[in-house]
Amino acid sequence: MPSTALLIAAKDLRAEFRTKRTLNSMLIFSVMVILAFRFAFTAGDGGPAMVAPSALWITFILAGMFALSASFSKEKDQETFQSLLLCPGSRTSIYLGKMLSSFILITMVELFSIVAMAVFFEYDFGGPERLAWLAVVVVLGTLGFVGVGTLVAAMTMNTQMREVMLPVLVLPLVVFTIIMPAVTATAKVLGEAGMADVGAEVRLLLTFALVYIIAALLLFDYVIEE
Amino acid sequence: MVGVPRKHRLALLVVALPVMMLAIYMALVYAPSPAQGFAAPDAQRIFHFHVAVAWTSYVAFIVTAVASVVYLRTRSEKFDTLALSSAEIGLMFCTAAIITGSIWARAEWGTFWRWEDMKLFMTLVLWLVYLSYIGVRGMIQARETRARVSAVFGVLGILCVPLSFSANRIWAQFHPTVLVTSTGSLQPGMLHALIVAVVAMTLFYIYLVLERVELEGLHLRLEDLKEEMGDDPDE
Repeated sequence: MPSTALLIAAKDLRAEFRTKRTLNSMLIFSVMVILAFRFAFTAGDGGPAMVAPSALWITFILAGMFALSASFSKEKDQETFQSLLLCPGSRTSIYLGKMLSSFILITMVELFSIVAMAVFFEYDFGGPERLAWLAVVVVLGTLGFVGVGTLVAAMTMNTQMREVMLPVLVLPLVVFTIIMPAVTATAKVLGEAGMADVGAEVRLLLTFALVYIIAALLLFDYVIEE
Repeated sequence: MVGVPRKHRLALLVVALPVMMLAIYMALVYAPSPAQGFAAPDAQRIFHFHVAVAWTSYVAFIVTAVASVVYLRTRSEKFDTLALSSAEIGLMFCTAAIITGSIWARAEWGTFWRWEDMKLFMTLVLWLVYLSYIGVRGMIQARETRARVSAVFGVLGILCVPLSFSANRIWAQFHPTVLVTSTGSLQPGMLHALIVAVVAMTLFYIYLVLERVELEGLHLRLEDLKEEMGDDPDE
């Protein structure tokens, strides 16, 4: 990863941790979504084991939208995007930097959501082996989501009602390629009867993460042309 | 935008309509009922149209992606117009594929939809992708930005098409797989009817796209004229 990308990511994270505005809203939002699931599903629906994997990923994806949207709209609103374009290095380093900073923010929120899920659903996430596999699935799924989401966030930066357009454009792209294999894999990892093999889903998640990141690297220049 | 002359478009329609009639005749009368393996053999006849419209929608989305790439390379507005037109017509054909498939599913499986079937699921995702493609265009005022951003999305969307097409091979589930065994499982009469139906739908698609391109050309000209007069193009 080029050093410009790392600098951009560091700048984004430093700015974010000074105010923590995006992070705080993401954390509050994810607690709200998990609690909404907790209230909406009762014991009759098959218990937390049925709900947990999908609830987790819906929370990740919806909370993740805030990070993706903020990463570009902040630059636009504070009129710093032009200066960002002027920074030396290729424009794909802007993409990589934004992707990295969103990835770190979203992963933090995901970690928090998993803990919140364990508390509110009195859910046992099992021993270290299960947690390790859960981490693999979450990291790969998030990578694919952030990979395509950062590109689309840059696209929607110039649209009207960008807060609506971002999920409208991202969801159809990730619903099958990321959400479905991730939910299936999470359900298998956390299954009550013991862990099932998640090799196929992990391969699928890895493939799409690569496909989206490569596509984004090829297309990003066109998106941010000014 | 220089479109295809009106008389050429009409000529295409004049060719497409009889082929369409022939396709209907062949699907309903000429093609035999499948001998075995289906709960509702005669409902199977809708398959000729179902495959033809589904095929055409894939072609349409591929045309959108190719036109989008060419637009990004050349920045010639006519390719953006072509991409938009093909996406709209493709969405229409994709809707028809979902509807005809559901009608058949009701007769064959007893239900309109199976959420667990990957092929159905993927086609619905494809439908959603191009619905958002058309949606995002309405949200960008600047013409050049609109063309550029939607071209990028048009390329991203195509990643779903091969997935949709191969989904019934990857996850061999309920959706019948016909082409994979080529003519092996298809009786000759059915194959003939299918080919005619595909040709008819493809011709019809070309005709519709040409008309849509013409319409969009007029629309853009109107936008230009309004701008010249100093009006806001949205009012």
